[in-house]
Amino acid sequence: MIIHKSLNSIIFNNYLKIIFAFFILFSETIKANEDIIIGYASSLHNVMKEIIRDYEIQSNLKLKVGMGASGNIAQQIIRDAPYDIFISANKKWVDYLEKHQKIKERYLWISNSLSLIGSIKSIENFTLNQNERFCLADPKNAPLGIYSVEAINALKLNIPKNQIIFLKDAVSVRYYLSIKECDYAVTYSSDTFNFDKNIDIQSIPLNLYSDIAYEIGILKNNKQTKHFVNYLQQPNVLSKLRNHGFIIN
Amino acid sequence: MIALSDYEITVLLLSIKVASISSIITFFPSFIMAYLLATKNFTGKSLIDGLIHLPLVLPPVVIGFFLLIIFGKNGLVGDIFFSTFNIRISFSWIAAMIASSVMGFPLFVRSIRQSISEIDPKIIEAAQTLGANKIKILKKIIIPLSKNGIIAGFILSFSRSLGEFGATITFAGNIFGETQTLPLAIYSSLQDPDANLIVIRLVGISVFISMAALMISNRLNK
Repeated sequence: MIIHKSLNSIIFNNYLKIIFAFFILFSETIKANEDIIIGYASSLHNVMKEIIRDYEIQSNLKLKVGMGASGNIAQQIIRDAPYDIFISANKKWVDYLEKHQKIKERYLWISNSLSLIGSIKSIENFTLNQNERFCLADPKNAPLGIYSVEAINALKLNIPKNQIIFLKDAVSVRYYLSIKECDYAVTYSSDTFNFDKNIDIQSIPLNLYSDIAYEIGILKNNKQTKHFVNYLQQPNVLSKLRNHGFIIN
Repeated sequence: MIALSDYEITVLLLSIKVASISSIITFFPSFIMAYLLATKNFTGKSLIDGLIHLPLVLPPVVIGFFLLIIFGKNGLVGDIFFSTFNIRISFSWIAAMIASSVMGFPLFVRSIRQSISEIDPKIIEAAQTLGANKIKILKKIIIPLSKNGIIAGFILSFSRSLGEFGATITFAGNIFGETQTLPLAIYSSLQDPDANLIVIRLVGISVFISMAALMISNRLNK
């Protein structure tokens, strides 16, 4: 109790100093910074961590990142989120930002493919047991969802509506698969990279869904953003992406 | 009167179903816990007190994560349910209800406890000397005198569960007609560029319900 009281009185008598100290501590972060902020599709998460780490060592620049469904990031940009570079898993969301005059330059980057997860013996006679769940990314915001729905329709997979769970982006599909909340799912082949060996993975033929093309949109045209986008096109970065299961054109 | 669309009606009914069932179910354990905390002294009381308050101070997403670990298909309880009853709890409206119950529980306990501890112990002693047994004391003294706390607890946990977002989206997902309650529907619509009007309408609905709940509680407390 005595300790409590003395601590209280210390705080009470010195509160102005404490507030001042907080200001000094955080003034560092208030300073205008020249970092680049990158928003990218969640399917790039694992590989982007490596790419960004390498780039930071090499360039001495600090990168800040935001990750999510491409549609979500596009929505944030429309509402003036301070991203400098946007990497989308489809053309649609870059088009959408271009229509709103947010995109200065755009580049086609890499591709991906889809995989069907879960023990499926025959696609023709595919049925779900009553308690099984099929996870898909939400086509509203996640490009993965749009591609997955195309693929499922082309495969004529018969999935009862109430057994589909729509998850917000590619990363959450991967997470809920890993904790076995989803029995089946459609996800990017790049996300099956270093997956549990016990999980069945089948790749879905490329002609069953539209091309999965990642596009880079530059929102603020300056030296730093140009430099980073150039870096993303370099052979060693591209080969890293290939190792993670992406398709390099 | 503005006509509600089918989408809004589904979301609204689900939210009210989840919120009301979860606050009714939470009432019983909350009352017992509040009674114990207000009237009894036992070892480990402060530990239990702390545990009860965890949902108030932890980030809701953390609660959702714990629930997923416990009630998920591979979780401790979830596994038993799945192997014996073939029921999956996570990502169903029951999951949404569990999430709301857990989040509302501390609020419920706090308000009932407050009003039980305000009861004059002399009244209870008098009842005892006049020969009333424990159940009679509970029925005739404790429950009537803590009525205000119980009502406040109901309203608080009902509103908490109407606003529950983090634990629900982690543990129950965002499934239309099953677990998509008002805040989740607002969140989803916020990400849809063509749904600005829906956002405004849903926000209006949730303000209306919360205000109504507050006004009902004020009226009942008089």
